[in-house]
Amino acid sequence: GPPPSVAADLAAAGGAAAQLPGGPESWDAIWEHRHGPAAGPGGPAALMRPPSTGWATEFAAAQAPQPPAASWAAEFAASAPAHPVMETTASTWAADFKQEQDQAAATTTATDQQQGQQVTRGSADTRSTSAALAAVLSQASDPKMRNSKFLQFVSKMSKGELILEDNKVVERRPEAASWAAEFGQQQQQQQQQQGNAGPSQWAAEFAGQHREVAGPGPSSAAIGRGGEWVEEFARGVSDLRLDEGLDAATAAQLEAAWRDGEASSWVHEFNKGDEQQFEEWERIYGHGAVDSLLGGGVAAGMGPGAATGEYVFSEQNPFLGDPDALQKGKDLFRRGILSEAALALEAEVRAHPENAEAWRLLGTVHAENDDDRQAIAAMMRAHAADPRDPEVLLALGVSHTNELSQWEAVRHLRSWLAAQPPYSALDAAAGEAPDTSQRLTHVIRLFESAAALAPSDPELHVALGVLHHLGRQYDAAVAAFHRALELRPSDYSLWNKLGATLANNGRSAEALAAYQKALDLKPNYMRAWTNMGISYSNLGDYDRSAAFYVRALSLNAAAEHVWGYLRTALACSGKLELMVAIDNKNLAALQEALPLE
Amino acid sequence: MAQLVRIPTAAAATKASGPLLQQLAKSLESEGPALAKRIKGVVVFKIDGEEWTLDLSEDTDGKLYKGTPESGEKPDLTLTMSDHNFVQLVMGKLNPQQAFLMQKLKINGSMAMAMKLQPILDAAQPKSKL
Repeated sequence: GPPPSVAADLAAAGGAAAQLPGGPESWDAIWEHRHGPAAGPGGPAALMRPPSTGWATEFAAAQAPQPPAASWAAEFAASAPAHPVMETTASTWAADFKQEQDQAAATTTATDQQQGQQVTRGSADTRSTSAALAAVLSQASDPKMRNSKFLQFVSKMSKGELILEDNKVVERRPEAASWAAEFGQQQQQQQQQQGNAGPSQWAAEFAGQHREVAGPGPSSAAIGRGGEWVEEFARGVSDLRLDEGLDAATAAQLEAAWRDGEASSWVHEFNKGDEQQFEEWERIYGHGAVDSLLGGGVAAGMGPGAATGEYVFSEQNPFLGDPDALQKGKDLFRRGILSEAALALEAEVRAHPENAEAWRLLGTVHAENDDDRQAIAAMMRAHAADPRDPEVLLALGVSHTNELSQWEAVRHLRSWLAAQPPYSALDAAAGEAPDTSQRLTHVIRLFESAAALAPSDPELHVALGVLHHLGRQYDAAVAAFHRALELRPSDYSLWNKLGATLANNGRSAEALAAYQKALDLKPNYMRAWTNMGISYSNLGDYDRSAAFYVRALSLNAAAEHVWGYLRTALACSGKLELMVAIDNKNLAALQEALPLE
Repeated sequence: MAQLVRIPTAAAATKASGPLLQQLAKSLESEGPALAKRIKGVVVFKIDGEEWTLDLSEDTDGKLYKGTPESGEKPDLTLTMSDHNFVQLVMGKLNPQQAFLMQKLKINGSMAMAMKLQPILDAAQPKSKL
């Protein structure tokens, strides 16, 4: 079936609901179908967490009148025989556990409130979610569910008593662990002399015996069997992840795989295949020229000036000494030949370092060539010459946003506002935010009040869009860029901003449409080509993504980070034979192997 | 402030994951505190034998650096995988559950923390530029 991210993006693009691969409906799909995306939790127990735990609520709701809809629930109800002794122990234990968790949760909430923070959807602990789930299950009317191994499993996980050792779930009993560790140390000394079995194996055996002897807990037989049911629980419980959302397509695939029942042999096959593949990659990677690990990333190709934010000049420059360098630079820029334009402009500013206009244009060229660091360095030179130039300030706000430097971005955008006569009074009146954590919100409100005054100022909406993007309020950012585009429909850079905002919010299919508009307006807009590559990767089309990166590199071969992106796309598409071409920066070979259309 | 220690490597094996680790380091500048609040611990990535420590201890801003944990303490979670699989995990070609079940990803340590891997992987993805 399609990769998970494709499914998510297709749904987001407003297309038909993502097609689940053949197999049973995932729990999330069941939830959505019954309750709709906007519905809150229902059922007897109030869950502490919103919709991602929908399946648990669904189960709780289903307890009273109907049979459980979720397949795992049915399996557990059927499988676990009620043990007379365990019944009393387990239900008492479940009640104790719930009380303990309630206390823990209450403490957490109090602390959060003290810190003045909102407990956002994404910040909750798996443990407290497990606690909520355990609470729901312990109140279920069916005693089999209360005694279930699943409940115990969830409880143990939420208490941190379960750990993973080489992908096997292991129950950590404090006494067993320390005893075994101590013994292990002794064994290690003996082992060297006697060549015994390793201490870890012994410790594992001990832990296994200890489990059988101890009180309620998943049976050691179940764990020892390789833990098929445990892994299924792990999968089920992993649905308690809060802010990632349920991965409908993958969950369905996994369920299908489990139903095939050949999980262990299948895993073995995958392992075998993996080793052979890995040998192949070693062979290929081993031939590569050796850059530093991070040479392939953003930092590559940057000299000592990079660390200090200084502009780094190209060594070879055919325009040096040319008195017409500035005009040539402007012409080349208009014609969209960005890398050449940069050289011409560099020649100009080397001859005339005070030429703010040349520095500003150089900054623009670098931004369009997807190099925010150089863009910032050049723009700062222009800024030094004229600290109130609005174009420079806005550009700095954008580039710093791309570089994830929130403080700098806000600073420059605020300066942009203050430099405009209509808004300077508003800016002065707004003052500073009460504390740094509210700085961005404060500035956004300021810009919104400015926009209320001047709804037809396209740049104001652009700035507002950038600020919203900074604060990850992507819907608001998209709305702001749309308004700006209504006022300036032919601004290619604006279409790119809209695209990037959509892409960073998981709406990659829509992003492609926006980038296409940008490229229609400016065919050699290297940043947009790179962004398209990123969006195709987001959508899982790695071949196409690689082709777009190659096109971007054809426009700007110095973009080291794009060489890095190309590696990741090829690693995902499986075209490993092209890694050598990347090592050699053989663009011709890559263009031939990865054509566009 | 996030750190990224640059140490040239003799092994070519981690080449594809390089830019992604760099993006992760950069993302920590804005997302580090929030990630630390969720993860509250130290994660070590062992990618083709190279170790990277992602320190998201509670109440810190988060940092990523090459090598084993500076404190000398055992990490809360260790993830071992090939360069190829790390890239696929980050790029969404493979998701953690699949990788785990297919044994493409070896996990040692806190299971609860392993469940929260996705936001870390997301932070390592290439970002689209305005």
